[in-house]
Amino acid sequence: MAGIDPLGGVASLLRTAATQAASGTGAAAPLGETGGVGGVGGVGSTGSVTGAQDAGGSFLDSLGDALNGLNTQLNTADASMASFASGGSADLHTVMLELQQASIGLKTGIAVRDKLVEAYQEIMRLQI
Amino acid sequence: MSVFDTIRIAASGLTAERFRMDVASSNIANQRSTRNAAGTGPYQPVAPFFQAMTMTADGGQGVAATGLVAIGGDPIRVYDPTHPDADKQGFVAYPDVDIAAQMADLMGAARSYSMNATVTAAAKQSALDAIELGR
Repeated sequence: MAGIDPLGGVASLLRTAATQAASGTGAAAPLGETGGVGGVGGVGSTGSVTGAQDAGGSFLDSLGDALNGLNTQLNTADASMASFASGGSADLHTVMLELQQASIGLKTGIAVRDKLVEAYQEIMRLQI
Repeated sequence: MSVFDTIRIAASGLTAERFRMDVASSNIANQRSTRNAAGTGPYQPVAPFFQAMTMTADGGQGVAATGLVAIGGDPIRVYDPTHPDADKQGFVAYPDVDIAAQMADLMGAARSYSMNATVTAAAKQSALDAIELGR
């Protein structure tokens, strides 16, 4: 899991960035939808990203928040798995559910990343 | 109103049912225990009781085991003067554990655990479906 953490964070950042880029090009409605998905994922930063944008906050801050949220999830799953493996008091179902939550968060991040790349490619085509 | 709220509530149910299984297991394991942990008498059969607790911002309620209540009648007295825990009249007190009821409770707990696991699976599938919406 430890090796996956940074990847998850990066994916989350990329996704958030993609969402931001999409909103910047006027794709506001898709952005709003993506924000909802981010909330479900528990990343939580997607919502604050929108807020930061309204307040003129930096895109990188939002990206960092999203990354941290996902990283926290992955670290929690990692810690409870380690606790269970070392004979700690963690319940098996607690460990599995935390892994599941981290997995859903990661998938959400990847979905946002895909949207970001899509928006980026769209913009590149416009320039050509 | 997060998908994770559903999972957290179901997780509380899973934990509660695990505890119920623990208690049934304890009652079954101690059906012939003539001394409780403190050594003051025969084992006392117990049953857990549960309480709803608000777990999510929008009022979703999970469950928590709040304690144990003694069940069963008076200890069963069996005449066995050679037993180290026999009283002056030669009777040994065994806990009044209703094994049939305990087994039924164990099965109920196992089934309830499965139900809560099904809820978490549904919540997970909903989240994955939601992600698919963005594709």
